[in-house]
Amino acid sequence: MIFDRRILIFLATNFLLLHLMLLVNSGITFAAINLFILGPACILPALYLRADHFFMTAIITGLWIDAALPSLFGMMTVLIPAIGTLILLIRRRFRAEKNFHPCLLAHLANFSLALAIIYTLIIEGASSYNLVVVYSIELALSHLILLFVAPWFFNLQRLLFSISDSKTEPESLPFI
Amino acid sequence: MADDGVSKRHSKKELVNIIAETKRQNAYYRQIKELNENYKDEIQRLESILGLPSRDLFRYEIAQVIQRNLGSWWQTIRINKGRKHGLGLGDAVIFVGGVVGRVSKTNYYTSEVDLLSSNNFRISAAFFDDRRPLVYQGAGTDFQAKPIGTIKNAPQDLRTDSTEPLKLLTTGLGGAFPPGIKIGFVPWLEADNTGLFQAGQVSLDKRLLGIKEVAVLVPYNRTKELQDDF
Repeated sequence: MIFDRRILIFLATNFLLLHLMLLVNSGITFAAINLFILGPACILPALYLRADHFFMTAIITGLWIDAALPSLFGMMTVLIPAIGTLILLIRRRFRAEKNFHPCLLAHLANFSLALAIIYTLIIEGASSYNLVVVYSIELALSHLILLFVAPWFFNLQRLLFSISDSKTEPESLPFI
Repeated sequence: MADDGVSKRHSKKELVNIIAETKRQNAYYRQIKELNENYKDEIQRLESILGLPSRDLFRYEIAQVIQRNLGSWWQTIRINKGRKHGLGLGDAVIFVGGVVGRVSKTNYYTSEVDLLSSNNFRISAAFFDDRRPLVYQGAGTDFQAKPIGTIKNAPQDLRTDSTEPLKLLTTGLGGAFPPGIKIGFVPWLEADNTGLFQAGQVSLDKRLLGIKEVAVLVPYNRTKELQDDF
């Protein structure tokens, strides 16, 4: 297996995104709002990397997120590779070199991950259906922030590809 | 030349003497043990006669908050002390404004704390100058982002209002929290659904949301809970 340098770039940027999200959440506690913007973490690895390399990236990212968030341990380790695998299976339909499709996928992935977390919170009894309105407001706010964060994040990843002399095209995609 | 250690031999008489000496020492230590127990009882008796304050049951482990997860999803903080520093599950966490919460998860270097406003947090409480216990439970934050809690089983003869709210304190029941630590203020009470008791909302210290440093109360004599094998 030839090691793809882009794995390191994806891992580094994913950790950066997680760290920034936690930093912002720690800083805006006066508003008691919890932003969740981890959707973009599993998009470009699924669109750019080979399946085995993507799997490695997704597992490490999932474990890292699970260690950092107080959600049920193992949930992100399972969900991020699962969502990424779905994208990977139909990635020929998406244009990875532009931001439109990745941003759309990032919003869908973010929404799915957030729903899964809220569902486990309710199942665990740590929360209740009475808070659905509050959840919806927080989730809407997160997606509003994601509108700005996702294009920046994907551009940063592509910029790091070109800086590190890595391949800037997705694997096995005949674009021309 | 033969090794000295191998060639050394003890006579039967020497061995008998050694055994006798060991027996004498054994008897001496038994006597000291009994004396120590007598002294312990005597200290307790004198302490109770003199009315001395009890010894510290907890040591304070000061910790910095390294992560806050506050909102409708979670009400937890992460601190930079863990099992390495003696923290255990259920240890009480306090700050200058009173109770912060309870340790819910411990790692080697970090721990997670369920805040006072978390739905998972429940504790026995009592009002200031009133020893009757009631139940406090966290309830997240209100629409103004203030941390809140609720109380149940409050006696019916208690009255409060928003200008002079009743102060809610810990009772010490359960062991994790010592008695008399502030939880919050209760600005109003109403009859609960049984009609026998009162229920109400508790206003918590707003500094809880921006907390930076806490103290974990680590018990000196931690009792290990028996694990149920069934």
